[in-house]
Amino acid sequence: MKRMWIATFFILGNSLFAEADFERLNMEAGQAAEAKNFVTAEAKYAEALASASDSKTKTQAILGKFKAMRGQKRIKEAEEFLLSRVEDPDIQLQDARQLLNTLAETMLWQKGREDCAMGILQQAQNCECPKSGNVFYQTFYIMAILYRNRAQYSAEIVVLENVLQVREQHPANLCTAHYMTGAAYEKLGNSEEALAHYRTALKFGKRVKYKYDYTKVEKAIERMCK
Amino acid sequence: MKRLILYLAALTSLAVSAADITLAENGTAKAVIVIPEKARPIVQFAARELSDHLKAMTGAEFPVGVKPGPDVNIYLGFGNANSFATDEYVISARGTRIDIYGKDTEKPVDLFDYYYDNPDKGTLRGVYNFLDSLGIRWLAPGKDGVSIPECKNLRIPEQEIRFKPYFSYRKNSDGYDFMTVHPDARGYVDSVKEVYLWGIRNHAAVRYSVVECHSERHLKLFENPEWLAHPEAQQLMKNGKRNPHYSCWTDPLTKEIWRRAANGYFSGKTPQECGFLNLKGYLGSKWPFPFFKPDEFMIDPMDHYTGNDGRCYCERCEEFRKQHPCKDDTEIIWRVIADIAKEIGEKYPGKYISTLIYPPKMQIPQTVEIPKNVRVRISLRGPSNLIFPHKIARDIESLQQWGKYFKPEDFQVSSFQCTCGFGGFLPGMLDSYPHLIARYIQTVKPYCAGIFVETLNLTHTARNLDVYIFLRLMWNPERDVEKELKEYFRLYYGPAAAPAREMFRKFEDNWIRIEREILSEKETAIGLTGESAEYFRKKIWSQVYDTAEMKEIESLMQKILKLSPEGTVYAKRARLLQKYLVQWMQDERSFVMEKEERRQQLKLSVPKAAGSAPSEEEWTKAPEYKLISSQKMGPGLKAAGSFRLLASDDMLFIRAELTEPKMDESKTDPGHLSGNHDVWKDNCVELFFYAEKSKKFWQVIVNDNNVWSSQTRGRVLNRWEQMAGLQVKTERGEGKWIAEITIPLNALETDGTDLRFNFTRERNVKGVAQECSTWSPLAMSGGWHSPDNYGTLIFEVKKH
Ligand SMILES: [Zn+2]
Repeated sequence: MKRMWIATFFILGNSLFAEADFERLNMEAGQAAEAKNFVTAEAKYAEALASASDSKTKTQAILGKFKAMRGQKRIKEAEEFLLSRVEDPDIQLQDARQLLNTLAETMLWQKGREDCAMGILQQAQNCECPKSGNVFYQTFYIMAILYRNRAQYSAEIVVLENVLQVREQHPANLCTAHYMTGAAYEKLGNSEEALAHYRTALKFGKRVKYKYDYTKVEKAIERMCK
Repeated sequence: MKRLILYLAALTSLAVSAADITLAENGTAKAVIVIPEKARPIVQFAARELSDHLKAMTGAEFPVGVKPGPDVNIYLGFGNANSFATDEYVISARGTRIDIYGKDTEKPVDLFDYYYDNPDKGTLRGVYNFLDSLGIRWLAPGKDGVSIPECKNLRIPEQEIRFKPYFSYRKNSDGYDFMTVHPDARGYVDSVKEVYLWGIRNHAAVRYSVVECHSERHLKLFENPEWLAHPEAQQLMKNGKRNPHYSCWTDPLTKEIWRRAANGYFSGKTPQECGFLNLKGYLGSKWPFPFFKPDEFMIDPMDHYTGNDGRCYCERCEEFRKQHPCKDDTEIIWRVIADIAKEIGEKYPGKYISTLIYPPKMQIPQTVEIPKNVRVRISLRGPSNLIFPHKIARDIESLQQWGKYFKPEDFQVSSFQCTCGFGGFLPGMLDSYPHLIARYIQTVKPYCAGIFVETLNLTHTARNLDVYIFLRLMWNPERDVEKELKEYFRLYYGPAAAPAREMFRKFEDNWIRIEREILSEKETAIGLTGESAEYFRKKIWSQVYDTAEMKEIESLMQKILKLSPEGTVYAKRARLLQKYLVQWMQDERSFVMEKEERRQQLKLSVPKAAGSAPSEEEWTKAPEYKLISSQKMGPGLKAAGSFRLLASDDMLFIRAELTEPKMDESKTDPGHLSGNHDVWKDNCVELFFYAEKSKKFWQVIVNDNNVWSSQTRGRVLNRWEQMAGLQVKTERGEGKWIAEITIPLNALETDGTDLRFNFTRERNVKGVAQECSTWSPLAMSGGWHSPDNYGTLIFEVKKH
């Protein structure tokens, strides 16, 4: 009944169906990538990209091709390819953000790429997307890790605030964000704030419906309460 | 309270006349309730309801029994109601005899059944209407929602009433999930049964017909071996795959399966006997939900979604479409429905096939004749379309067109009052509009059997009034909404009626504004979350429920609380209103708006410079903006900094003075030239600009060595680009350095009212840890690149 209302009034005549070609090519590309046949995967993803008609499917194909190119150790080329695609007006901002998040994530543990990753995320954060989603969260999560690695804990806290404000975020993400905030406060010597965030982290951790490990949060609380 | 008593006194004195019947005198009962010796359970229940309510009103015990008493006797369920329609009842009061009766079910008392499915409650209807005539109202679910006037001397006039409601179908969406979907449910009731009872007392109709959507999914063909063995009967999707969850409606097997199901259903067979091995019965039916109405079987295809429009693209279907052009699959699917309905009509007279007017069959079929034994439900937006004359006109036309094919009693409207609540689209706001509901009921009245309304919001407190008014007016469309509202507020909020009414009037006015001025902008996005939801929330919280409006609501709330005497039911109701409506609005609003409101406070005035270059005097007079440490909770600044702003008609001038006790230790790379991408690693300042309307973003970095670089943003990515016409002059001095930056306003793409700005500094000198500072207190390190954290430049008005 609820679905019906939206559909009747707002998506009437909707013609957003996946193209047959795209679905087939995307699947074949995925199989090739799984078999570590990255050359074939890249070619198939390129074909899939050509037959993709909307932002979601295009993004899927771009990400696939990006990973296939990286699989062939053509890192720089892969990055250039991805960046050349995000300004495509067919790619919605939230999907552009997802692409940038993925790119930054691959740079996270490459020595000397931290500034570059941060720059990418600074652009990603200005791409509007649903605040409740994982794409929103990922941008700030990776940023926070970058700041933490640089020991810039107060900046880490500022970045994570973006996530803590969003009550619609998944409890697992809120748990992690509060835990990281608590740890940053602990590093800064503010044990009161640290404990408060650890406790909130635990509260959210317990709300996660699937099996979720929050023992590190419990340990942190134990440590603070000694 | 005083007003209430006065009103009742007036009511009572009016009623006193020679032909009056006395029910109670000085708190003593002058009547007994008489029920038949083998009274049906529902009549016994009606007697209890009557006796309980009369006791609460008069303080007297009204005995229930099978023998009449010496005074007045209220006979329940004695009359002959065989010929009565559903919901029809009689109240006959003459001398010492009062009769109340209607058609009554034989089934035991089960509030779920009475509320959802059992239509035969005639005597009970009569009793509730009798109590209604005494001034009793069921304003909200639960005990505290009942309003019963006190009256120790109760007299009623003689009367003869035989009543049948105009609409046979009057259904609100309250139901089994009331307790789980409303955080305030326990503020009203202890159990969902009380919600059913509220609906019954206010005459909600049963689930009438065309109960569900998409009955195809309940046949579970996708688990059915016979179906799975015949992929050609399954939908061929656009991607070339068969989808067993959907059907090819031109395939003979699809039709055969539905034929068999419908025939089996009406002939009393089980699903298993018809080859549906995996189906289980619902309530008393052998068949699953929604196949449980004795006279009706629903044929309706699966719902569509993004990625599958629900239509079959096999050659045969495509060929059919060529031969019978139609905007959607109306012709294809109605062919099956009509054929089966015809067969059912012949074999089982009085039995119906039902379906929806819903994609992919929204049209009126042209090549198929619709048999008489078809019932449909049409899905319309509902009362809020009255705000837009063209939309309501379109809805009426639709009702008229479809109405030609059905008897009004087989044609019902499904409508929606859930713009705020659906998918949590606008949390903390409410689409409350009792006046529109009243008008809507009058609007659709000529065309249909009634209305189902999905009233959905995150708290029940936000929807109670609308559900109540809907049920009152659907039972009797002759009722006057103004009178109803006045009475509701008087009875529900007592001494605080006036401010409460004013508050709800605001809600309705505001909702109309929201629909008209804001939501109409981007119709396609409503109900979907994401970017648009965020956009609409901010817009509504800043343009309709702005700080001034919220203050007024809060002040009305305080009045309501103050006027509601502690310990009374009014105080309880007022607290529910505060906690689950006003407080909830405030919380949701501050969640969305707090930062934006703080941002809006951040303003930098930019005085006008007389010439094309500011004079020293003008610089001295211009306000000075000081930098603060941008490290959250960090130590104070070791090296202070500030800047001043001036503007001519086409230039923005910025002069910054940056304290630097260790000027000679600057880390600036002397080899950097303007345009270099690493200038930000130097001892430098950064300027951030963002024009709201054009979304133009610029970042300008200036080091202490006359070198600058800038970048701007496309839709997504930043690119290094030297801003045309920008000029920089820096000067290193004793204990400080100065930067003068001139920016052509046209490059910023601002209209002069929407320019956001921040100024930051990265102090990079040898022997000292990097020290970062900012003007905007929202733009702490980690937040420099988000325009959500910048202030706004206020240009001095140009003198013409
Ligand atoms: Zn077909």
